[in-house]
Amino acid sequence: MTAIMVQILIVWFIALMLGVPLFATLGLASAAFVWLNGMPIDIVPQKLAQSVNSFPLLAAPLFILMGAIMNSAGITDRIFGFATACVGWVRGGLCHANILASVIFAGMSGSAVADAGGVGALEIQAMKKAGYDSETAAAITAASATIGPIIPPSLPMVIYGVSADVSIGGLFLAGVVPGLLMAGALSAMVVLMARRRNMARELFPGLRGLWVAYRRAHWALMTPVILFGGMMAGIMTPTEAAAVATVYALFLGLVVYRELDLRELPRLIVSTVEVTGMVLALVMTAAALSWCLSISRIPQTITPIIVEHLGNQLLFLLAVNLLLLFIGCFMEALAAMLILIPILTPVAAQLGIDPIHFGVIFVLNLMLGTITPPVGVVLFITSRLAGISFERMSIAIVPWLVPLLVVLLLLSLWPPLTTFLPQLFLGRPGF
Amino acid sequence: MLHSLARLAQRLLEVAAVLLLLAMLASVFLGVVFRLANDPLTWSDEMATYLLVWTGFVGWIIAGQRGSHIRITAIIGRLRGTPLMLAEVVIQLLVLVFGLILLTQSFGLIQRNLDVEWVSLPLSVALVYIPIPIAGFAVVLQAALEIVRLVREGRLVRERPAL
Repeated sequence: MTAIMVQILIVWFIALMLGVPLFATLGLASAAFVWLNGMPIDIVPQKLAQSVNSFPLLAAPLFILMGAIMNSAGITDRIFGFATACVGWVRGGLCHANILASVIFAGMSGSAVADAGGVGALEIQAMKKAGYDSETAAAITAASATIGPIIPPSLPMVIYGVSADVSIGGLFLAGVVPGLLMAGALSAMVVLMARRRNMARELFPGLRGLWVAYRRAHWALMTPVILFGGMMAGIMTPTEAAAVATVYALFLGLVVYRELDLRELPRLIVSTVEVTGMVLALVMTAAALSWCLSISRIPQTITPIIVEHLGNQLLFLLAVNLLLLFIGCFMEALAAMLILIPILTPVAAQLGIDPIHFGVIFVLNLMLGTITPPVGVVLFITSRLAGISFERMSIAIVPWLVPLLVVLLLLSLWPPLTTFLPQLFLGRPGF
Repeated sequence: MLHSLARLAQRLLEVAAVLLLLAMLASVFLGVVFRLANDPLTWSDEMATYLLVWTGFVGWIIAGQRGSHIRITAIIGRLRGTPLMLAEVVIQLLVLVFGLILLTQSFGLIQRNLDVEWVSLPLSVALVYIPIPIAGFAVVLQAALEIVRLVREGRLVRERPAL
């Protein structure tokens, strides 16, 4: 069985590289494995349906919908206004405001793409108007957008949790400190650059102005409170918190702020279902292939070899970082995640790495992949929003990668940065 | 005729998408509300996961229509003209084969589970498998239409005089 699987994986890889849609390559590879081993082919459709018949996975479409509603309900505008009032008056203020707005928005949305396309569009516009060059505006927006899926809620963490069988609540809690560290590191970089480039600053709005900006954003700022409060108090699972927060976002958009047009809602929902379908097609077919992989005993064969050669946790984590950063340059984050989970997580478990710690590092690496050329979906969005070429965008992002890589290294070296909060709130390590 | 059929199909899909997602949201939300009111619903979680399976497959079809499924185009993006057309036809043929597997191989699953009931409601477990052949049919249809389009446009490319 192992030999058959290896041959199938070689053909699969070639087909993938030649441009066959990923879901079809994953599905065909599983069907081929099942057929060549004389098993009934209906195992494949069965695995597809069973893999999404999952309550934790429900959080995925709900978080996508919530992000879409937030972006259309005038909520992003209020958050950016509040962030600007808070930190806009220091040198390079709008860069800091950009980061702060991303942190707040990260607490409501779970994807870097939603962050870059929503609050990002606003930030780039405001920064260009204030005299920042397009490259800086686009680069800081792209870099801070990666905080979105690290601070909960997080779409990639939901998918990781479901696929690798790790507690999603645990992953969410573990992402809080790394997300704040990323924001801190980016802000430190802004301080360094602001002096050298003599960046602009906004006028201090006064305490009264600050209060007005807060009042405007108050109800929007309550969204993360509802999400975290519900989950941390143990009243709600992440899926349930997603549903409650989505209903709250709808209420804000339709009743409180009245900036969401009811006629626009069907369009938002259809595009949410479209993204959900794209994500779930991969989750389903990857689950089928992952089942075939475990039957073929490939992970059991590879794991001891890797453990033998990279016999300690730190060495393995650093190797995983390099591998994921490299793959993230060329492959879409979700695709890379689903393909690599069944291969890498058994090794991590064998080496005794906390599954939550490993999950956060895994996700962070792949999110950095969204801002590294040549395949970086967030870079595509921000370069288009700022009206600059992808090449110029790719150069502009380089200095901003440094602080994020430093955070990644810190997290790899010192696990308590991720594991402390889950242990505090959920007790048992790893679950 | 074909055009209006396609529009009808698209409209139906969009209506299904809206209804499914709203029903799913309502199901999870009501589950929380009733539990917090100390009168938990028994069916809300199971209902929501079944709706998720349906939403997933409807979204799969919509993503296919809009061409948003993930693929790596770095290599194929360098091809032009006839080689590109031929490569795309082969790719769509592979997609079509996978669609055929979904379409033909799930009826046994549906049949075997028809009599099995949900834990919480008197509904059939087969409901979780019914969207598979539907999605399979859509995948086959989308791939076939794409092949027809490619072959037609490929001819045009070949007939165009070289500049």
